[in-house]
Amino acid sequence: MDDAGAEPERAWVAGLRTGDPAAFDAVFAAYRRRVFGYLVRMTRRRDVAEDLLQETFLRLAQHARGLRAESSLRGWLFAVAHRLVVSWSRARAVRAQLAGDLPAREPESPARSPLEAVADSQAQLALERALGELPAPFREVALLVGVEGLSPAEAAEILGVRGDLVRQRLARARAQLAAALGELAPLSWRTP
Amino acid sequence: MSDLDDLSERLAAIDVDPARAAKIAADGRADLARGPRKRRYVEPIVVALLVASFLAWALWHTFG
Repeated sequence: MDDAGAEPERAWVAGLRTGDPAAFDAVFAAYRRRVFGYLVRMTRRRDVAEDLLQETFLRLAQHARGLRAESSLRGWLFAVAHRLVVSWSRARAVRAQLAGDLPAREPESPARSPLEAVADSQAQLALERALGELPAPFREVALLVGVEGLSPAEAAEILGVRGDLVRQRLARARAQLAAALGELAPLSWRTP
Repeated sequence: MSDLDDLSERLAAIDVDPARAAKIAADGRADLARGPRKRRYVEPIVVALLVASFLAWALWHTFG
């Protein structure tokens, strides 16, 4: 978070700690699209992403008074969203196993994802598809670092893994996206 | 950081359904106003009572 973003964030945290609903509204307005984008791209399902978004912000409301004054709301929200995605993925894998239909890897539900429906160019469509094809751990670091602008160290803290593992996954995500997109990939992604 | 640093500009924007967003916001505000749930204190109190009862019984059984 840069200095310009840190100031309102501190005020929001202070407001949340005192139970101020305006602070909750401000945080929801600032982060709902970002968290929702992450959830949709991780689950590939709009209905699930909406449920997990609701759970993320309800947890924020329930834990607001216990936030530390210096808490990073972005880190807090994405850490909760990450844990919810992990729980959802595990529950889904268990259900599939019980049904005798264990998927080979992270399931990609509908043939056409909700992201593909909102893409307004061929390049966007190709990128959404390529992102959806990435293994979940690679996709997750691509979203946290590439979209959310977190540092690999911050992403590592959220994911509970080492920083060098995040950097490794990021490099592989970039290479796979570049390979999938071919000429549509920006030059910086194609450069080793 | 050159890795995927312009990914966000290349992706489509997506938002939650407005009616659902309004419901989440309303539920969140209500939860925030309600404060910490009392239910969270029930379990530790029950456990503490059980442990204290067991210790009292054990002491009485040993020295009583």
